[in-house]
Amino acid sequence: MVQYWRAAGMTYLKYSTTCAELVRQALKEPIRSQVLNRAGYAMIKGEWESGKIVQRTLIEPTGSSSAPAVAK
Amino acid sequence: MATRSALKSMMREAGHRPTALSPTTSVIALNSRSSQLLSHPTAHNSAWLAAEHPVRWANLKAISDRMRSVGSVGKITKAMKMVAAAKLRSVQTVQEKSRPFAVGLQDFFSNMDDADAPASPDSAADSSPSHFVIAVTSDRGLCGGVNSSIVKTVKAMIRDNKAVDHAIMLLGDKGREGLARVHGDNMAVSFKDVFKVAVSFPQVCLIAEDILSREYDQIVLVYNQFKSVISQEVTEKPIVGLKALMASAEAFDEYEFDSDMDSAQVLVDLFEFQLATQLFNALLENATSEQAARMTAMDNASRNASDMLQSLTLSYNRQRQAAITQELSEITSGAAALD
Repeated sequence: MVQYWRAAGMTYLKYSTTCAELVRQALKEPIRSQVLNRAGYAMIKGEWESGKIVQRTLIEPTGSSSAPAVAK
Repeated sequence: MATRSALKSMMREAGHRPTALSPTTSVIALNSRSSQLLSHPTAHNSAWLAAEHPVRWANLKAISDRMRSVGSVGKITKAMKMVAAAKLRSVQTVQEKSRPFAVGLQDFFSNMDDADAPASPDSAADSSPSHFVIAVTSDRGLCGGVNSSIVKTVKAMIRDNKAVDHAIMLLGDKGREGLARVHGDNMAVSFKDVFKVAVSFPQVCLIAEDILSREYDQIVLVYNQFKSVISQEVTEKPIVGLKALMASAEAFDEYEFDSDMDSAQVLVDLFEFQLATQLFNALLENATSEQAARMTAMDNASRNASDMLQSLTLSYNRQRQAAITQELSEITSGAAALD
């Protein structure tokens, strides 16, 4: 038997961060904005091939890593 | 720009090697400016001294200029030290809270190593094992030897285990030049700006998911473990891959799994969670070490600046006195010759 979220192609990490996100959304106001403001990052992921970065992607808190946003 | 390059040269004199050499143009700019200063002292806004005796006072002008720049570099390094100290305090509290999680999970998974010796991939002889090396470096420089020691460790690891396939994941930007030059073919993926804001667990989960999507037998985390403000230790933490873990899942039979899923499923979940936790802890340890190392480096740099300023002041006064004495003797001997 496989968990339904794993059957949908999610990892445990993805599942738990999604759950945590939902819990944060459900909080009441003074705490809610406090908690939602906490997360905020913008990493740049680079895929390498034979010593060079071939593709760069910007990764932001929305969770979904967007399409190639940063060119060389 | 000139002060930044002067800062770098001062770090070098202190025995530190800055890993980034990006503002090379400013170094050239500084050199051309100072040589110009030495050859054409009157070309600048020199004091009334230089107008009458350009050669005699030129050196003095150069020294006073140097004194000013050394003084401002000292001020900058002192400010950077304060900033690093404040950041260290905030990141250290988070790091201390994350450590028990990492240690607890590591203890749990170390059961397997005791039960199954062949699970250690180094002794697996069938095919060449693959290691996924996660090198944790910082995004910003001027933090002593923190990054170069990581690069050195990873290089040594690859050199000493030729039978193993290594793929490198680089976190932070400062290890890039060092690793890509020699081991460019091993580079798989890199993340930069990881430390720009305080490291958060959801952020680490995204990195961990990238790791999970790859093929390897073992993960090796390479990061600076924070011991104290004056000591950070490069640590290689191995994490056995999922395949090897499932192969020796019976090591966990003595545990009772309180779940409606079977224990293998729970083990997979736990493995993923453990990976993210270890990674989170490693990132925090490294961030703490970075700030601590920066604090020490900047402390050394400001001490060097004040030493340098002291010796420059001494030679400035000596030369000034010599010039005055010589001028006086010229005047008196000239007057004597007229009599």
